[in-house]
Amino acid sequence: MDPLIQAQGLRVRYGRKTALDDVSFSVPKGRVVGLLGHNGAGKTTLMKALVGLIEAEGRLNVLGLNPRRQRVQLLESLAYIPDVAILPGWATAAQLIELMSGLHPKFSAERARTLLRRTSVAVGDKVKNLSKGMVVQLHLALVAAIDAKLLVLDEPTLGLDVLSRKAFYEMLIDEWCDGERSVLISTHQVEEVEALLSDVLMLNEGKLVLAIPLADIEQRFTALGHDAAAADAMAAAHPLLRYRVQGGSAALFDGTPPPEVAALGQRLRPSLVDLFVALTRQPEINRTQGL
Amino acid sequence: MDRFFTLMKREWMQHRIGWLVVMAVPTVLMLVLSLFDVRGLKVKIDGDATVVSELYQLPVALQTVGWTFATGLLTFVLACLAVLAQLPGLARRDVQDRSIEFWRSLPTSHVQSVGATVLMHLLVLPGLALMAGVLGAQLVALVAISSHLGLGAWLTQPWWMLLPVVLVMTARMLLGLLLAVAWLSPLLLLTMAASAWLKRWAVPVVVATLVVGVEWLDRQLPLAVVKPVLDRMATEALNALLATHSFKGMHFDSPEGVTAALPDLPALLLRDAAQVLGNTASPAFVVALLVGAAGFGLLVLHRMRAE
Repeated sequence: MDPLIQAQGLRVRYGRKTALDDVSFSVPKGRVVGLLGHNGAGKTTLMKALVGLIEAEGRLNVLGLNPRRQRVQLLESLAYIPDVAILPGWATAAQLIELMSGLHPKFSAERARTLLRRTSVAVGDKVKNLSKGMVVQLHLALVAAIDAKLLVLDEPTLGLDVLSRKAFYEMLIDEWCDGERSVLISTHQVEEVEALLSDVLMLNEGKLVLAIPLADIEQRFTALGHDAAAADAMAAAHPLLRYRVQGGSAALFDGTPPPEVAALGQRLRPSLVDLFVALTRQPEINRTQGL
Repeated sequence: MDRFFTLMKREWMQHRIGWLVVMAVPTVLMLVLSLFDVRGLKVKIDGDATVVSELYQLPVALQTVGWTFATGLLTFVLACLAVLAQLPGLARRDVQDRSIEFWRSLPTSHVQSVGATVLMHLLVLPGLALMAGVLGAQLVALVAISSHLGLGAWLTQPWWMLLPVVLVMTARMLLGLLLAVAWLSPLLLLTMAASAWLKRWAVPVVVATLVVGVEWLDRQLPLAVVKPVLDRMATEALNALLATHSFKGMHFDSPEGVTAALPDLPALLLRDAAQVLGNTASPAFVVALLVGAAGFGLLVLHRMRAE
């Protein structure tokens, strides 16, 4: 089965700065993929390239289309929330539904109204009178009413309070994730999306440093909890990251550590946050892996 | 096409209050004016004759045409001023309110998006305002004539003669609007494009560029270019709205003479329309369209790159 997104050797430059550097990955259908990276890592650039808003070198195929040349056609089957609270302030929810009905061939006004009833936004509400969290909910309700195959979300919860973020992710799970449609969600709030994801892509300084199904993380990476006496031995084994855990320290290895080192510690489940810290703070260990 | 129409509808949704005001204010002003005893009306056509008369002593049909022309013209002028005031801001409107990201996430081309904005604000909304003004004028005429001469006077007008006059006059002004915008498109669209890039500095920069062009560049060149080009654009745009030379040689001794000439007005306006259309068959018009298209292209380019 063809993947929904196939990227090969993507490269984007802004003047002398390389925003994306030889990025290759693919996203099959029915996946919830987290695109993780610090600010300036290249997440937004990658998303804009995916929806055809910027030109990228390399090969890029999204839903079987060339995003740059077939942007309009692509956006008919791809829903995209590019930022937080960017709906036009002058419009009411009802006007946005009316406009979306005319602009998007796969938009269902009825479904949008149904979804909206599950939020605290009324159809007559003007966007400029809504809180940031309500605007995001309205935007997600509009986007979830599109019969699209792929949803691309760029930092959709940035700046929202905990309750709004929770409401957003609940709505996303309930109304979008059906096992058929895929989601690519960029964020640096790693811990919040971990439970949602099936796969993860990590970007660091424009390079893809990790592309892996979440289920494979435990197989590939090893975290060892250890006491102070084993610290030197752990450090000598060159872990990706050494960090503090409840009651001691831990070391994170890419692969299996040497048996004599493994014997000194207790195996822990490596968390996505630790992996994120490990892979996005040490450029020298950047590496690219296929999904 | 549906999408383009929806994008045009979006312009109406966003700006409808302002445009409704533009459409209604002239009618309201004229309604207020119509309640007063307007002392006189001057009919002056190309300096050939001047007839002064008490307004309500004029033939009723002429009063109706007068109110229609005055209200329509006032609405049209107000609409043009609204367009000129709004135009620079339109180019950066979506970037300013950050909704550009939302609009660009929808399956519409950049050409469609910019095209709908330009078409609505340069042609459709001023055209609608003009038609609203003409319609409002009929209300003004009804109120004015009824209040001074009685409802019967309004009802017994020669409608067979008036309707073609009003319709052709409106159509002629709509054609004039289209052609005037086409002639002025280099200035209008390049100002919009400048506004997209230079933001609030755009208008001062455009004005300064034109002043430098007229006052300095033209003197440096063996043959002046900037001023003649601006003059030609302005002349053609004004002629497109009303080619006054079409009315040269007309002479009226009395208001009744003007009324008697009214049935000929549609044919005269049609001839005038043919003449201004004929003026477009010139290299200058093609150049104007090409430069206007370049301005449009710059707007599309800016939208493609908008952050």
